[in-house]
Amino acid sequence: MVDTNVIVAEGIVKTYDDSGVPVHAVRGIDYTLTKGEFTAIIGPSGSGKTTFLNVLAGLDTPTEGKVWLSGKLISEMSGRELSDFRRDHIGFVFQAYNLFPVLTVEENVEYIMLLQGIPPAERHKRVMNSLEKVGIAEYATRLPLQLSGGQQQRVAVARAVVSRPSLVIADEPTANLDSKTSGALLDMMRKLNEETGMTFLFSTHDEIVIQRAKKIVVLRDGKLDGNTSPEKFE
Amino acid sequence: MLLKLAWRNVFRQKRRTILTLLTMTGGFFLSSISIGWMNGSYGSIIMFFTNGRTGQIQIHHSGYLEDPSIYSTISDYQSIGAVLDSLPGVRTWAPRIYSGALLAVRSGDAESGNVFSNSAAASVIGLDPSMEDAATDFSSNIVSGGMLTASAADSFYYATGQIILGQELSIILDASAGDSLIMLSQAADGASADRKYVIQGIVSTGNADIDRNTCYITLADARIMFALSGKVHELAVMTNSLGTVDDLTEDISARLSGRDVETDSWKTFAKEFYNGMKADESSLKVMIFIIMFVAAMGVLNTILMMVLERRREFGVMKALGTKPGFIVRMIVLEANIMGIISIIAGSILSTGGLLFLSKHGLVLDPPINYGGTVFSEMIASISPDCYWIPAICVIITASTVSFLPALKAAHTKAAKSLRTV
Amino acid sequence: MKYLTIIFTMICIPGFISTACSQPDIDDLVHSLDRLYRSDDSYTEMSMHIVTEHWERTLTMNAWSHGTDNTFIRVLSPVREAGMATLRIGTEMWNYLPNTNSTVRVPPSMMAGSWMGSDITNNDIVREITYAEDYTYSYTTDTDLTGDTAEGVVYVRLVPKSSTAVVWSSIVCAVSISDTIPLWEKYFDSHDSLIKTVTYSDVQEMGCRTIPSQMQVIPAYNEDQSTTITWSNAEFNQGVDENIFSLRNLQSR
Repeated sequence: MVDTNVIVAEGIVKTYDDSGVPVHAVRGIDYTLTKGEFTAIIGPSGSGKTTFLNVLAGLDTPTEGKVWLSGKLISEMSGRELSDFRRDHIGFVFQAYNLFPVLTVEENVEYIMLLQGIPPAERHKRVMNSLEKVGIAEYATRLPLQLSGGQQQRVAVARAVVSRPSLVIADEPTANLDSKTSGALLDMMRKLNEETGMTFLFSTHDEIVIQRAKKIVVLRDGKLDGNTSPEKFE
Repeated sequence: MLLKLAWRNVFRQKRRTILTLLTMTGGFFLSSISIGWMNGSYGSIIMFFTNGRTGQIQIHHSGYLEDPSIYSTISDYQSIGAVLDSLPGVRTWAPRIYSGALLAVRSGDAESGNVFSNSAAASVIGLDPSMEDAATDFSSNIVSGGMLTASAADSFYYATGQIILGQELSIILDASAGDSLIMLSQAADGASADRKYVIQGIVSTGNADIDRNTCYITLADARIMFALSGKVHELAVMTNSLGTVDDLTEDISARLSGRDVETDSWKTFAKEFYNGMKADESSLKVMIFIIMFVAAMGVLNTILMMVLERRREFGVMKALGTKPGFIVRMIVLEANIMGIISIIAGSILSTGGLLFLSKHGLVLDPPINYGGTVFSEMIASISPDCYWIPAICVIITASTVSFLPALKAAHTKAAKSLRTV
Repeated sequence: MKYLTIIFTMICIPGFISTACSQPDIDDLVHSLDRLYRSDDSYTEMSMHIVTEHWERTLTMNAWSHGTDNTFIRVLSPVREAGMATLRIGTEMWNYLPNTNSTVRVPPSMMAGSWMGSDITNNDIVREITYAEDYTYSYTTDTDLTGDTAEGVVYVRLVPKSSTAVVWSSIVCAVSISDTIPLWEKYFDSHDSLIKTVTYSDVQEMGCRTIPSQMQVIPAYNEDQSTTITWSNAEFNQGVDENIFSLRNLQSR
């Protein structure tokens, strides 16, 4: 059963210091994410969604508790190990797209494989493959700022999935998009999930995302407040 | 990819980059011009100083420089001269005899007869009139009267009984061209020697200290006066250019090894002058440092702004698994790309500026007096120093100034920088 | 400088004779040193032997003196310099040069220079100084200054008064107690480094007084160099024609 668990988190507590005032962002969460899930973590602003996601993604270390990702205990890794681990195991999609403005679409997607040291021919093949999957292969040589928000976010998704990570984490991916674009983006991601079995974890409060999630996790005041399906949630 | 990223990042903020480039190019240009100008004016000061008096290289009997004694003589100077004539770097050379004497002139009243009561101690330089003119253009400094008559041969029998006085010395003695004077001294054989001379001319070398206590007679006269048959104290060597002096000194020294002589460059025998030049050179270094410091502040400002603006981007890079070293290298590279562009632009500008300054020197008003020699114009010279020194300064500046901000950028916390939308 | 007076202005007064071997009264001793060669007038015949690293030569000369102001010296040999003469009147000094038949005044800047290439300076010839008036003095037993001490010899340390313009800071004089004749004088600079040594020797009866007939000057900077003056004849207080001390006499051969 272990190999089907992408994430196992035990007793996660995250307290950070906000100008001398301790903020208890996450107050003890046990959580397991299994392979192939397409799960949205929802909750009101300040419920600790982003903090929780950062801890799971190895961008932040928990104050207490342990996180295993693909069977590795990432909550106790050094910065350097984490950096390599993220590069090889996690794909990120950010709310603000966060593409490199000086690189073309193609180069943005290629970037991680470059860090991984994959040979050029292989890189090119995978880049084009990813761009085709997200449906913007024709814009490969454009710069991000020459694309619309939805197109940019598709590039971001292509960048996130290109190195076939165990997990794709998307933090509010639709926050800057209109509903039609959001829906198309989510359908595309869901399709990727179903075709490749890649695991997706979202944080969101967007209806469009929630509707398309296979599973919903509700976070309230830094604690899990139920684990439900979208249908139940509605 | 690193280069691509850095290159493109440089041109993201075009206006700011151009301003930074202007600062760095300006720093390069100013440093380059300063070096060229200083080198040029040093060169001309040194050539002026050495050509007018000392030569760039001197040959003496071993130990003469430490203890200039009338007995430390070179006896076979003609054969040394033949060696010098065979060297292409040597323009010309001049033999000299140095000694001291008491000079006395009749006082103004007609009654004085043979009593020479206006007297003064003086350095006596024995020289070969035509060789000295070829070497130092001695005649051009004669302000009244004329040059010593060149001897028909370098021989004992061709004494002229002529003397030239430094201008201040002639004033002290109240003597002018045409007057006769008595020179009293001691010859190298210990005997007292006295001879009568007719003042042939008055010379003003531009150095009042020298003109106050120096007189000049021909080599032949000096030999009789000081019992130095066939001998000289010094050979002053004039070279074609300052740059070859050190090599030439070594070459001459090697060719004359075996003889009991020493060969020195102006850096040794005009030590005070040389040290003065070196002191000026260190003030040039301070100046370049200040110029580069100002430029560095501009670059630092740009890099700091850039790092601040791109904080989120560095966060994303970190999140995607980019190592800190990559980010440091990228930013330092960005600064150096700007540096290299500045060096190229600066070199082009500097070449133009230096070419101009090497043709049209800066007129000094008031003129400066250096070691008794007056300079009224400073001319630049173009040398590799004008390029590689500022270039290295620019690269070092760009690298050091960008390193700390780069380190800061490299340690951006991904989680934190991404949170701030 | 003491020995100058010695050379050119000798007096015919019997030397001070000490009655005991004990240390004599220092005032008497210094006055007797001053009196040793001082005279109203004098005529001496001497030779000067100069030795340097590069050459060695001997000059013979006659000298006349009158009072403390006037000195006249005529060189007799060698031939090249025969007829050269030096006249001093007070602090003025003139050289007659037969070769060019000219008389040259020695300027103040040359007064520290060598006289006739010897270790005696022009100043030494011009200056008229007495130990009793121009120096403060005391006996010294400082062996750093005196070197090895001898029986029957006293050592006087003379320090020039501030008004006395000389280039040395002290003189140590070794004097034989029995006849108050000086044996040597050492000249020191302000760091008590030796500048030169003057030794007196060959005491003889000359011009009806007992005096050292030889004096040697050895500069400290080169001990191989020396100037030795030997008197062959001396007459004191026999009267001297004052016309000798004139520019006209200087220029007559």
